[in-house]
Amino acid sequence: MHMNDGLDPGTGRNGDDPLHDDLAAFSLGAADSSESADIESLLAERPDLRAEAARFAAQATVLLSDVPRRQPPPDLKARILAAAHASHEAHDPTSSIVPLPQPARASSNLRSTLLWLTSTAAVVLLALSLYMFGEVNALRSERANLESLRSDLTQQVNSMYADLAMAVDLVMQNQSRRVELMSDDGEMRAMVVLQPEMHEAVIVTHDLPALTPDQTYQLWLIGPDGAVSTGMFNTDPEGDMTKVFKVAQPWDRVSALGISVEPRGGSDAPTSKPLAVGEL
Amino acid sequence: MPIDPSISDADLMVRVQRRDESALALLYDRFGKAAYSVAYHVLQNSTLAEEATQDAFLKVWTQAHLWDANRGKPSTWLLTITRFTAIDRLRVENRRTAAHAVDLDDVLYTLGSVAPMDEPTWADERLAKSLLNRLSPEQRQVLELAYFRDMSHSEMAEHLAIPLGTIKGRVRAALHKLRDLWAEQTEDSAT
Repeated sequence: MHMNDGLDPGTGRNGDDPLHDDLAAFSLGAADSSESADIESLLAERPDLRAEAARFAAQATVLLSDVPRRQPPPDLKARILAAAHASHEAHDPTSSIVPLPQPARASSNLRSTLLWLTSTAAVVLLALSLYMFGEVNALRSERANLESLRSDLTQQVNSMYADLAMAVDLVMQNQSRRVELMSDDGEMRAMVVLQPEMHEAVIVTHDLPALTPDQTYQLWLIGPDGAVSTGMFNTDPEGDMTKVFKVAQPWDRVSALGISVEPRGGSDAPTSKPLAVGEL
Repeated sequence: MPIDPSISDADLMVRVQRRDESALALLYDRFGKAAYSVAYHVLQNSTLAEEATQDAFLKVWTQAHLWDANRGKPSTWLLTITRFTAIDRLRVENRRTAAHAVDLDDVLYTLGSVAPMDEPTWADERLAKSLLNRLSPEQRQVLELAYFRDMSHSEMAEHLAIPLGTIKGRVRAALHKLRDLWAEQTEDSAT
Protein backbone atom coordinates (compact mmCIF):
# COMPACT_ATOMS: atom_id res chain seq x y z
CA MET A 1 0.00 0.00 0.00
CA HIS A 2 1.00 3.58 -0.47
CA MET A 3 2.28 5.55 2.42
CA ASN A 4 0.65 8.84 3.16
CA ASP A 5 2.87 11.53 1.70
CA GLY A 6 1.21 14.72 2.79
CA LEU A 7 -0.96 16.70 5.16
CA ASP A 8 -4.25 18.26 4.18
CA PRO A 9 -4.97 21.27 6.36
CA GLY A 10 -8.45 21.52 4.95
CA THR A 11 -9.53 18.23 6.49
CA GLY A 12 -8.49 18.96 10.03
CA ARG A 13 -6.70 15.60 10.15
CA ASN A 14 -3.08 14.81 9.71
CA GLY A 15 -3.82 11.89 7.41
CA ASP A 16 -1.19 9.75 9.04
CA ASP A 17 -3.09 6.52 8.62
CA PRO A 18 -2.31 4.91 5.28
CA LEU A 19 -4.19 1.73 6.10
CA HIS A 20 -7.45 3.52 6.72
CA ASP A 21 -6.83 5.83 3.79
CA ASP A 22 -6.72 2.84 1.51
CA LEU A 23 -9.72 1.29 3.21
CA ALA A 24 -11.71 4.45 2.58
CA ALA A 25 -10.73 4.49 -1.07
CA PHE A 26 -11.50 0.80 -1.47
CA SER A 27 -14.96 1.28 0.01
CA LEU A 28 -15.70 3.87 -2.68
CA GLY A 29 -14.18 1.78 -5.47
CA ALA A 30 -11.43 4.37 -5.79
CA ALA A 31 -8.46 2.27 -4.80
CA ASP A 32 -5.86 1.64 -7.45
CA SER A 33 -5.92 -1.93 -8.65
CA SER A 34 -2.50 -2.60 -7.15
CA GLU A 35 -3.84 -1.47 -3.77
CA SER A 36 -7.06 -3.41 -4.08
CA ALA A 37 -5.43 -6.81 -4.17
CA ASP A 38 -3.58 -6.03 -0.94
CA ILE A 39 -6.70 -4.66 0.71
CA GLU A 40 -8.79 -7.65 -0.25
CA SER A 41 -6.21 -9.99 1.22
CA LEU A 42 -6.15 -7.97 4.40
CA LEU A 43 -9.92 -7.83 4.68
CA ALA A 44 -10.11 -11.58 4.30
CA GLU A 45 -8.10 -11.91 7.51
CA ARG A 46 -9.38 -8.93 9.51
CA PRO A 47 -13.11 -8.81 10.27
CA ASP A 48 -12.62 -5.52 12.13
CA LEU A 49 -11.22 -3.89 9.00
CA ARG A 50 -14.01 -5.33 6.88
CA ALA A 51 -16.52 -3.76 9.24
CA GLU A 52 -14.67 -0.46 9.04
CA ALA A 53 -14.62 -0.53 5.24
CA ALA A 54 -18.31 -1.39 5.21
CA ARG A 55 -19.02 1.61 7.42
CA PHE A 56 -17.10 3.83 5.01
CA ALA A 57 -19.18 2.48 2.15
CA ALA A 58 -22.37 3.01 4.12
CA GLN A 59 -21.43 6.61 4.86
CA ALA A 60 -20.71 7.21 1.21
CA THR A 61 -24.23 6.22 0.25
CA VAL A 62 -25.34 9.60 1.49
CA LEU A 63 -23.97 10.90 -1.79
CA LEU A 64 -26.76 9.04 -3.58
CA SER A 65 -29.24 11.33 -1.85
CA ASP A 66 -27.54 14.43 -3.14
CA VAL A 67 -27.75 13.62 -6.84
CA PRO A 68 -29.78 16.17 -8.83
CA ARG A 69 -33.10 14.60 -9.71
CA ARG A 70 -33.93 14.03 -13.37
CA GLN A 71 -37.15 12.73 -14.83
CA PRO A 72 -36.71 9.42 -16.68
CA PRO A 73 -38.46 8.96 -20.03
CA PRO A 74 -42.10 7.87 -19.67
CA ASP A 75 -41.59 4.57 -21.48
CA LEU A 76 -38.63 3.40 -19.40
CA LYS A 77 -40.87 1.67 -16.87
CA ALA A 78 -42.65 -0.29 -19.60
CA ARG A 79 -39.34 -1.34 -21.13
CA ILE A 80 -38.02 -2.54 -17.79
CA LEU A 81 -41.19 -4.48 -17.02
CA ALA A 82 -41.20 -6.04 -20.50
CA ALA A 83 -37.60 -7.14 -20.09
CA ALA A 84 -38.32 -8.46 -16.61
CA HIS A 85 -41.33 -10.35 -17.93
CA ALA A 86 -39.23 -11.91 -20.68
CA SER A 87 -36.64 -12.81 -18.09
CA HIS A 88 -39.33 -14.29 -15.86
CA GLU A 89 -40.66 -16.42 -18.69
CA ALA A 90 -37.21 -17.82 -19.24
CA HIS A 91 -36.80 -18.86 -15.63
CA ASP A 92 -38.18 -21.75 -13.71
CA PRO A 93 -40.45 -19.94 -11.28
CA THR A 94 -39.89 -22.47 -8.54
CA SER A 95 -36.13 -22.38 -8.71
CA SER A 96 -35.90 -18.61 -8.97
CA ILE A 97 -37.19 -17.99 -5.46
CA VAL A 98 -34.75 -20.32 -3.81
CA PRO A 99 -31.92 -18.25 -2.34
CA LEU A 100 -28.66 -19.16 -3.92
CA PRO A 101 -25.70 -19.83 -1.69
CA GLN A 102 -23.18 -17.02 -1.54
CA PRO A 103 -20.54 -17.79 -4.12
CA ALA A 104 -16.99 -18.32 -3.06
CA ARG A 105 -14.96 -15.15 -2.90
CA ALA A 106 -12.76 -16.26 -5.77
CA SER A 107 -15.78 -16.51 -8.06
CA SER A 108 -16.80 -12.87 -7.90
CA ASN A 109 -15.72 -12.27 -11.47
CA LEU A 110 -17.89 -15.19 -12.46
CA ARG A 111 -20.75 -13.61 -10.54
CA SER A 112 -20.21 -10.41 -12.44
CA THR A 113 -20.20 -12.27 -15.70
CA LEU A 114 -23.33 -14.19 -14.74
CA LEU A 115 -25.09 -10.96 -13.82
CA TRP A 116 -24.16 -9.48 -17.16
CA LEU A 117 -25.20 -12.62 -18.97
CA THR A 118 -28.51 -12.73 -17.15
CA SER A 119 -29.41 -9.15 -17.91
CA THR A 120 -28.17 -9.43 -21.47
CA ALA A 121 -30.08 -12.68 -21.91
CA ALA A 122 -33.22 -10.96 -20.69
CA VAL A 123 -32.86 -8.21 -23.28
CA VAL A 124 -32.04 -10.71 -26.02
CA LEU A 125 -34.97 -12.85 -24.96
CA LEU A 126 -37.28 -9.86 -25.12
CA ALA A 127 -36.09 -9.00 -28.63
CA LEU A 128 -36.39 -12.64 -29.62
CA SER A 129 -39.89 -12.83 -28.17
CA LEU A 130 -41.01 -9.78 -30.12
CA TYR A 131 -39.43 -11.20 -33.28
CA MET A 132 -41.04 -14.60 -32.71
CA PHE A 133 -44.40 -12.95 -31.99
CA GLY A 134 -44.23 -11.27 -35.39
CA GLU A 135 -43.09 -14.47 -37.06
CA VAL A 136 -45.86 -16.51 -35.46
CA ASN A 137 -48.47 -13.98 -36.57
CA ALA A 138 -47.06 -14.06 -40.10
CA LEU A 139 -47.14 -17.86 -40.08
CA ARG A 140 -50.71 -17.86 -38.78
CA SER A 141 -51.74 -15.50 -41.56
CA GLU A 142 -49.93 -17.62 -44.13
CA ARG A 143 -51.55 -20.76 -42.76
CA ALA A 144 -55.00 -19.13 -43.05
CA ASN A 145 -54.25 -18.23 -46.66
CA LEU A 146 -53.10 -21.77 -47.38
CA GLU A 147 -56.22 -23.19 -45.73
CA SER A 148 -58.38 -20.97 -47.93
CA LEU A 149 -56.42 -21.96 -51.02
CA ARG A 150 -56.70 -25.64 -50.09
CA SER A 151 -60.46 -25.27 -49.67
CA ASP A 152 -60.77 -23.57 -53.08
CA LEU A 153 -58.64 -26.23 -54.76
CA THR A 154 -60.66 -29.00 -53.13
CA GLN A 155 -63.85 -27.46 -54.45
CA GLN A 156 -62.37 -27.13 -57.92
CA VAL A 157 -61.10 -30.70 -57.93
CA ASN A 158 -64.46 -32.02 -56.72
CA SER A 159 -66.20 -30.00 -59.40
CA MET A 160 -63.80 -31.35 -62.03
CA TYR A 161 -64.40 -34.92 -60.88
CA ALA A 162 -68.15 -34.37 -61.06
CA ASP A 163 -67.86 -32.86 -64.54
CA LEU A 164 -65.62 -35.67 -65.72
CA ALA A 165 -67.97 -38.28 -64.34
CA MET A 166 -70.87 -36.58 -66.03
CA ALA A 167 -68.85 -36.23 -69.26
CA VAL A 168 -67.95 -39.91 -69.23
CA ASP A 169 -71.53 -40.81 -68.56
CA LEU A 170 -72.75 -38.64 -71.44
CA VAL A 171 -70.10 -39.85 -73.87
CA MET A 172 -70.80 -43.46 -73.03
CA GLN A 173 -74.49 -43.09 -73.77
CA ASN A 174 -75.49 -44.68 -77.10
CA GLN A 175 -77.76 -41.77 -77.95
CA SER A 176 -75.17 -39.11 -77.29
CA ARG A 177 -74.42 -36.57 -80.00
CA ARG A 178 -71.25 -34.67 -80.70
CA VAL A 179 -71.37 -31.14 -81.99
CA GLU A 180 -68.14 -29.62 -83.28
CA LEU A 181 -67.81 -25.86 -82.91
CA MET A 182 -65.62 -24.42 -85.65
CA SER A 183 -63.96 -21.06 -85.99
CA ASP A 184 -63.95 -19.02 -89.19
CA ASP A 185 -60.60 -20.48 -90.19
CA GLY A 186 -62.08 -23.99 -90.12
CA GLU A 187 -60.36 -25.11 -86.94
CA MET A 188 -62.35 -27.05 -84.40
CA ARG A 189 -62.27 -25.02 -81.21
CA ALA A 190 -64.69 -27.01 -79.11
CA MET A 191 -66.89 -30.08 -79.00
CA VAL A 192 -70.18 -30.39 -77.16
CA VAL A 193 -71.44 -33.84 -76.22
CA LEU A 194 -75.09 -33.98 -75.38
CA GLN A 195 -77.76 -36.57 -74.75
CA PRO A 196 -81.15 -35.49 -76.11
CA GLU A 197 -83.01 -36.96 -73.17
CA MET A 198 -80.86 -35.22 -70.61
CA HIS A 199 -80.60 -31.63 -69.51
CA GLU A 200 -76.81 -31.64 -69.29
CA ALA A 201 -74.12 -31.28 -71.90
CA VAL A 202 -70.37 -31.45 -71.85
CA ILE A 203 -68.20 -28.95 -73.63
CA VAL A 204 -64.54 -29.66 -74.31
CA THR A 205 -62.46 -26.80 -75.70
CA HIS A 206 -59.09 -26.84 -77.37
CA ASP A 207 -56.60 -24.09 -78.08
CA LEU A 208 -58.96 -21.21 -77.46
CA PRO A 209 -57.24 -17.80 -77.44
CA ALA A 210 -56.18 -16.39 -74.06
CA LEU A 211 -58.55 -13.86 -72.55
CA THR A 212 -57.77 -10.65 -70.72
CA PRO A 213 -58.74 -10.51 -67.03
CA ASP A 214 -61.86 -8.50 -67.84
CA GLN A 215 -63.19 -11.08 -70.35
CA THR A 216 -64.96 -14.43 -70.23
CA TYR A 217 -66.18 -17.04 -72.67
CA GLN A 218 -69.93 -17.57 -72.92
CA LEU A 219 -71.75 -20.54 -74.48
CA TRP A 220 -74.98 -19.82 -76.32
CA LEU A 221 -77.86 -22.05 -77.36
CA ILE A 222 -79.20 -20.64 -80.61
CA GLY A 223 -82.83 -21.30 -81.65
CA PRO A 224 -86.03 -19.60 -82.79
CA ASP A 225 -85.95 -17.37 -79.74
CA GLY A 226 -82.46 -16.17 -80.53
CA ALA A 227 -79.32 -16.83 -78.45
CA VAL A 228 -79.85 -18.02 -74.90
CA SER A 229 -76.93 -18.16 -72.52
CA THR A 230 -76.14 -21.50 -70.95
CA GLY A 231 -73.10 -20.46 -68.95
CA MET A 232 -69.68 -18.87 -68.82
CA PHE A 233 -66.28 -20.47 -68.68
CA ASN A 234 -62.58 -19.85 -68.82
CA THR A 235 -59.82 -22.12 -70.02
CA ASP A 236 -56.38 -23.08 -68.83
CA PRO A 237 -53.36 -21.26 -70.32
CA GLU A 238 -53.37 -23.66 -73.28
CA GLY A 239 -56.98 -22.81 -74.08
CA ASP A 240 -58.28 -26.23 -72.94
CA MET A 241 -61.24 -26.89 -70.66
CA THR A 242 -63.91 -29.51 -69.92
CA LYS A 243 -67.18 -28.47 -68.30
CA VAL A 244 -70.71 -29.71 -67.81
CA PHE A 245 -73.57 -27.31 -68.54
CA LYS A 246 -77.13 -27.42 -67.41
CA VAL A 247 -79.53 -26.95 -70.31
CA ALA A 248 -82.87 -25.44 -69.41
CA GLN A 249 -84.66 -25.72 -72.74
CA PRO A 250 -85.46 -28.82 -74.83
CA TRP A 251 -82.80 -29.74 -77.36
CA ASP A 252 -85.32 -29.76 -80.15
CA ARG A 253 -85.55 -25.97 -79.80
CA VAL A 254 -81.79 -25.60 -80.27
CA SER A 255 -80.44 -25.34 -83.79
CA ALA A 256 -76.86 -24.34 -83.08
CA LEU A 257 -74.30 -23.71 -80.36
CA GLY A 258 -71.95 -20.75 -80.28
CA ILE A 259 -69.08 -19.42 -78.16
CA SER A 260 -68.42 -15.71 -77.87
CA VAL A 261 -66.05 -13.54 -75.89
CA GLU A 262 -67.98 -11.36 -73.45
CA PRO A 263 -67.17 -8.87 -70.74
CA ARG A 264 -66.41 -10.44 -67.37
CA GLY A 265 -69.67 -11.33 -65.69
CA GLY A 266 -71.32 -12.29 -68.94
CA SER A 267 -73.92 -10.71 -71.21
CA ASP A 268 -77.67 -11.19 -71.78
CA ALA A 269 -77.01 -11.55 -75.50
CA PRO A 270 -73.83 -11.95 -77.53
CA THR A 271 -71.99 -8.66 -77.88
CA SER A 272 -69.33 -9.89 -80.28
CA LYS A 273 -69.08 -12.11 -83.31
CA PRO A 274 -69.07 -15.80 -82.24
CA LEU A 275 -65.61 -17.27 -81.95
CA ALA A 276 -66.84 -20.74 -82.87
CA VAL A 277 -70.20 -22.11 -84.01
CA GLY A 278 -71.59 -25.62 -84.47
CA GLU A 279 -74.94 -26.71 -85.83
CA LEU A 280 -76.93 -29.53 -84.33
CA MET B 1 -53.22 -10.27 -5.53
CA PRO B 2 -53.13 -6.45 -5.72
CA ILE B 3 -50.45 -4.71 -3.71
CA ASP B 4 -51.38 -2.31 -0.98
CA PRO B 5 -49.78 0.98 -2.10
CA SER B 6 -48.73 1.61 1.49
CA ILE B 7 -46.65 -1.56 1.60
CA SER B 8 -43.22 -1.05 3.15
CA ASP B 9 -40.13 -1.07 0.97
CA ALA B 10 -38.88 -4.21 2.67
CA ASP B 11 -42.16 -6.07 2.14
CA LEU B 12 -42.15 -4.86 -1.44
CA MET B 13 -38.74 -6.43 -1.95
CA VAL B 14 -40.05 -9.69 -0.53
CA ARG B 15 -42.74 -9.59 -3.24
CA VAL B 16 -40.06 -8.92 -5.83
CA GLN B 17 -38.15 -11.93 -4.52
CA ARG B 18 -41.30 -13.95 -5.18
CA ARG B 19 -41.20 -12.82 -8.81
CA ASP B 20 -44.19 -10.53 -8.49
CA GLU B 21 -44.03 -8.23 -11.51
CA SER B 22 -46.50 -5.77 -10.02
CA ALA B 23 -44.10 -5.40 -7.09
CA LEU B 24 -41.31 -4.57 -9.50
CA ALA B 25 -43.57 -1.96 -11.09
CA LEU B 26 -44.23 -0.38 -7.71
CA LEU B 27 -40.52 -0.51 -6.88
CA TYR B 28 -39.89 1.43 -10.08
CA ASP B 29 -42.61 3.93 -9.19
CA ARG B 30 -40.87 4.57 -5.89
CA PHE B 31 -37.23 4.58 -6.93
CA GLY B 32 -37.11 4.70 -10.72
CA LYS B 33 -36.53 8.44 -10.78
CA ALA B 34 -33.80 8.24 -8.16
CA ALA B 35 -32.10 5.37 -9.98
CA TYR B 36 -32.25 7.17 -13.32
CA SER B 37 -30.87 10.30 -11.67
CA VAL B 38 -27.92 8.38 -10.24
CA ALA B 39 -27.24 6.73 -13.59
CA TYR B 40 -27.44 10.07 -15.37
CA HIS B 41 -25.19 11.71 -12.80
CA VAL B 42 -22.52 9.11 -13.53
CA LEU B 43 -22.93 8.88 -17.29
CA GLN B 44 -24.07 12.41 -18.20
CA ASN B 45 -25.98 10.95 -21.14
CA SER B 46 -29.70 10.23 -21.20
CA THR B 47 -29.54 7.20 -23.52
CA LEU B 48 -26.78 5.54 -21.52
CA ALA B 49 -28.57 6.41 -18.29
CA GLU B 50 -31.75 4.71 -19.53
CA GLU B 51 -29.81 1.59 -20.42
CA ALA B 52 -27.99 1.53 -17.10
CA THR B 53 -31.23 2.04 -15.18
CA GLN B 54 -32.86 -0.79 -17.08
CA ASP B 55 -29.87 -3.05 -16.47
CA ALA B 56 -29.90 -2.17 -12.77
CA PHE B 57 -33.59 -3.00 -12.36
CA LEU B 58 -33.07 -6.26 -14.23
CA LYS B 59 -30.23 -7.11 -11.87
CA VAL B 60 -32.53 -6.38 -8.95
CA TRP B 61 -35.18 -8.56 -10.57
CA THR B 62 -32.93 -11.49 -11.36
CA GLN B 63 -30.80 -11.23 -8.20
CA ALA B 64 -33.52 -10.21 -5.75
CA HIS B 65 -32.75 -13.23 -3.60
CA LEU B 66 -29.41 -11.63 -2.73
CA TRP B 67 -31.11 -8.76 -0.94
CA ASP B 68 -31.24 -9.26 2.81
CA ALA B 69 -33.42 -7.08 5.01
CA ASN B 70 -30.74 -7.22 7.69
CA ARG B 71 -28.22 -5.63 5.37
CA GLY B 72 -29.97 -2.46 4.46
CA LYS B 73 -32.85 -0.70 2.84
CA PRO B 74 -33.99 -1.74 -0.63
CA SER B 75 -33.53 1.82 -1.89
CA THR B 76 -29.86 1.88 -0.87
CA TRP B 77 -29.29 -1.54 -2.36
CA LEU B 78 -31.00 -0.57 -5.59
CA LEU B 79 -29.21 2.76 -5.92
CA THR B 80 -25.86 1.18 -5.11
CA ILE B 81 -26.42 -1.41 -7.82
CA THR B 82 -27.46 1.38 -10.17
CA ARG B 83 -24.31 3.34 -9.43
CA PHE B 84 -22.11 0.30 -9.98
CA THR B 85 -23.93 -0.58 -13.19
CA ALA B 86 -23.55 2.96 -14.46
CA ILE B 87 -19.85 3.02 -13.64
CA ASP B 88 -19.37 -0.31 -15.41
CA ARG B 89 -21.05 1.27 -18.42
CA LEU B 90 -18.90 4.37 -18.09
CA ARG B 91 -15.81 2.19 -18.24
CA VAL B 92 -17.08 0.51 -21.39
CA GLU B 93 -17.87 3.85 -23.00
CA ASN B 94 -14.48 5.25 -22.07
CA ARG B 95 -12.83 2.01 -23.20
CA ARG B 96 -10.95 2.01 -19.96
CA THR B 97 -8.72 -0.87 -19.25
CA ALA B 98 -8.41 -2.42 -15.87
CA ALA B 99 -5.29 -0.38 -15.16
CA HIS B 100 -6.88 1.03 -12.07
CA ALA B 101 -10.39 -0.24 -12.32
CA VAL B 102 -11.45 -2.14 -9.27
CA ASP B 103 -14.07 -4.82 -9.79
CA LEU B 104 -17.05 -3.10 -8.26
CA ASP B 105 -18.83 -6.37 -7.68
CA ASP B 106 -15.87 -7.36 -5.54
CA VAL B 107 -16.28 -4.23 -3.46
CA LEU B 108 -20.01 -4.72 -3.12
CA TYR B 109 -19.56 -8.35 -2.23
CA THR B 110 -16.83 -7.71 0.31
CA LEU B 111 -18.54 -4.84 2.06
CA GLY B 112 -22.10 -5.97 1.70
CA SER B 113 -21.41 -9.25 3.41
CA VAL B 114 -20.19 -7.82 6.67
CA ALA B 115 -22.46 -4.97 7.65
CA PRO B 116 -25.61 -3.17 6.71
CA MET B 117 -25.15 -1.16 3.55
CA ASP B 118 -26.89 1.84 5.00
CA GLU B 119 -25.66 2.22 8.50
CA PRO B 120 -26.40 4.94 9.41
CA THR B 121 -29.76 5.08 7.70
CA TRP B 122 -30.06 8.03 5.35
CA ALA B 123 -33.81 8.05 5.50
CA ASP B 124 -34.10 11.78 5.45
CA GLU B 125 -32.86 13.19 2.20
CA ARG B 126 -32.81 16.74 3.53
CA LEU B 127 -30.75 15.63 6.49
CA ALA B 128 -28.29 13.92 4.19
CA LYS B 129 -27.95 17.08 2.14
CA SER B 130 -27.42 19.19 5.22
CA LEU B 131 -24.64 16.88 6.36
CA LEU B 132 -22.97 17.00 2.96
CA ASN B 133 -23.17 20.77 3.02
CA ARG B 134 -21.05 20.76 6.15
CA LEU B 135 -18.16 19.10 4.37
CA SER B 136 -15.54 21.36 2.92
CA PRO B 137 -15.66 21.90 -0.86
CA GLU B 138 -12.41 19.96 -1.16
CA GLN B 139 -13.87 16.99 0.67
CA ARG B 140 -17.03 16.98 -1.39
CA GLN B 141 -14.96 17.25 -4.54
CA VAL B 142 -12.93 14.11 -3.87
CA LEU B 143 -15.98 12.15 -2.83
CA GLU B 144 -17.75 13.22 -6.00
CA LEU B 145 -14.79 12.27 -8.19
CA ALA B 146 -14.34 8.92 -6.49
CA TYR B 147 -17.98 7.99 -6.19
CA PHE B 148 -19.47 9.21 -9.43
CA ARG B 149 -16.57 9.78 -11.82
CA ASP B 150 -14.85 6.48 -11.13
CA MET B 151 -11.55 8.14 -10.39
CA SER B 152 -8.90 6.31 -8.43
CA HIS B 153 -6.58 7.91 -5.91
CA SER B 154 -3.92 8.30 -8.56
CA GLU B 155 -6.25 9.78 -11.13
CA MET B 156 -7.63 12.29 -8.64
CA ALA B 157 -4.13 13.30 -7.67
CA GLU B 158 -3.26 13.88 -11.30
CA HIS B 159 -6.56 15.56 -12.10
CA LEU B 160 -6.36 17.96 -9.16
CA ALA B 161 -2.57 18.28 -9.19
CA ILE B 162 -2.45 17.38 -5.51
CA PRO B 163 -0.10 14.90 -3.83
CA LEU B 164 -1.41 11.35 -3.68
CA GLY B 165 -1.21 11.15 0.08
CA THR B 166 -3.24 14.31 0.43
CA ILE B 167 -5.95 12.86 -1.76
CA LYS B 168 -6.05 9.67 0.29
CA GLY B 169 -6.25 11.52 3.56
CA ARG B 170 -8.90 13.85 2.19
CA VAL B 171 -11.15 10.98 1.12
CA ARG B 172 -10.84 9.28 4.49
CA ALA B 173 -11.31 12.52 6.38
CA ALA B 174 -14.45 13.26 4.40
CA LEU B 175 -15.94 9.91 5.31
CA HIS B 176 -14.93 10.28 8.95
CA LYS B 177 -16.48 13.72 9.09
CA LEU B 178 -19.73 12.36 7.67
CA ARG B 179 -19.71 9.74 10.40
CA ASP B 180 -19.05 12.33 13.10
CA LEU B 181 -21.77 14.60 11.79
CA TRP B 182 -24.20 11.76 11.74
CA ALA B 183 -23.34 10.76 15.29
CA GLU B 184 -23.74 14.35 16.36
CA GLN B 185 -27.11 14.54 14.67
CA THR B 186 -28.23 11.31 16.27
CA GLU B 187 -27.23 12.52 19.71
CA ASP B 188 -29.07 15.81 19.16
CA SER B 189 -32.17 13.91 18.16
CA ALA B 190 -31.92 11.68 21.23
CA THR B 191 -31.70 14.63 23.60
